[in-house]
Amino acid sequence: MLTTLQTMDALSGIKTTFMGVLVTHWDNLKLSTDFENIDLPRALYDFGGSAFPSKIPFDNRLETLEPGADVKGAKAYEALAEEVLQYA
Amino acid sequence: MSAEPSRFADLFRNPSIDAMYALSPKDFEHFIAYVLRRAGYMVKEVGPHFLRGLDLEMRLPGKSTIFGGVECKRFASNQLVTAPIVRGVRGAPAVDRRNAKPFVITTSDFNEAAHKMAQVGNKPVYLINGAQLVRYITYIQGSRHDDDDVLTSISPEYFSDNGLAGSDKGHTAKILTVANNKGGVGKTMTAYYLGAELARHGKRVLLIDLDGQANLTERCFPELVSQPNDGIERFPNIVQYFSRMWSLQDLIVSTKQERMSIIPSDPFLSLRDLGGSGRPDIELKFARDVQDLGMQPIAALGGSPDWIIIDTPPAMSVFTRAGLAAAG
Repeated sequence: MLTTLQTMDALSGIKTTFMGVLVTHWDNLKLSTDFENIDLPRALYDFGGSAFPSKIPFDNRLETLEPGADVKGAKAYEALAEEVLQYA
Repeated sequence: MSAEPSRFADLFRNPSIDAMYALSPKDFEHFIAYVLRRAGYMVKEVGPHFLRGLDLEMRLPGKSTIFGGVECKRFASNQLVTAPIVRGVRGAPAVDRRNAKPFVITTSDFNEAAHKMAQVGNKPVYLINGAQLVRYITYIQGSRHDDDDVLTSISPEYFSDNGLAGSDKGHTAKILTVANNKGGVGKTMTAYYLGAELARHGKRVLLIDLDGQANLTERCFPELVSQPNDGIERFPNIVQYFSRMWSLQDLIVSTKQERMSIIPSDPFLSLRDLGGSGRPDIELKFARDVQDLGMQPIAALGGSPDWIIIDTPPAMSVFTRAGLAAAG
């Protein structure tokens, strides 16, 4: 997908930016830490790009709460928005 | 400017890999030159005896420096372009210049070693397979005047030093697409909360729900969840756009979140994805329409959107590709 985007960018002049990988459903269990420490770096090495420093924790309250709520999931998205604004 | 051979006009209007393969290798080079001229380039057919490994030189209008060098390979579908060919293009004198881009264009595809070779060093070699070529031709069709005097009809100011025909100058909104092949990973929540947080920062945000599951739409309008699925009766949505009944602008609905609106989706959208490979006509039209939308004032937002955030379905479907094509 990224190779195709790069090639089409070159020909069409439309600059598409791969902003990065966002880790979601994050927790501190081994599956998540293995992903962060092993699988994700390997994927980024193979395919390029980077990961957002913000990680979105697993928080099923996000399904119903309003933005700005005082829960860890909503706070993580607040941090992500700050990152995206800095990036842009 | 002299007219190109009319025999290429039909192929340009109705491009297919099989029809391009039916050309002779030399005619395939002529056809690629024709395509690139339609895209707005000045193209010189130089042949490999002058320019080692390359068939075409491309320049931007009014520029003397070479923008790109192209090697054309009219191959059967079972004959992949190999690494030595890519290496030969990389070493061509014309693309040794700092800003000159090397391209290999084929009717077939590239093997893995060719892809790796293309990424060696600081300057990539751009590889365009048959399917991408068809896609590009379709893109040009929608961007260019369909006549033989295309170069004289386009002002040189249209081109930037590094961009080329079809670039989206003047585009204001930032377009962000959330994509992943897998379902249930949080794409919709990311689109919703990121949009809402940007709106809370004072940005004007337009969400576009390209997922037939319509979860983003239902997240913005929870009251819909309790309603029976009566599809397009709920309100105008993206299905009407892909049915060519409504424009995107007409489908925008305000949400409860201040400064955030949405173009909603509906389960009927899934029925419009027929699967299979690319539908560049749909994908690129959507991309252009979204980029146009980013420059227009939207009443529900009180101005042009600062951000357009697109939620995609959990598959590499026509709607995911359309969302990626629109991102920029």
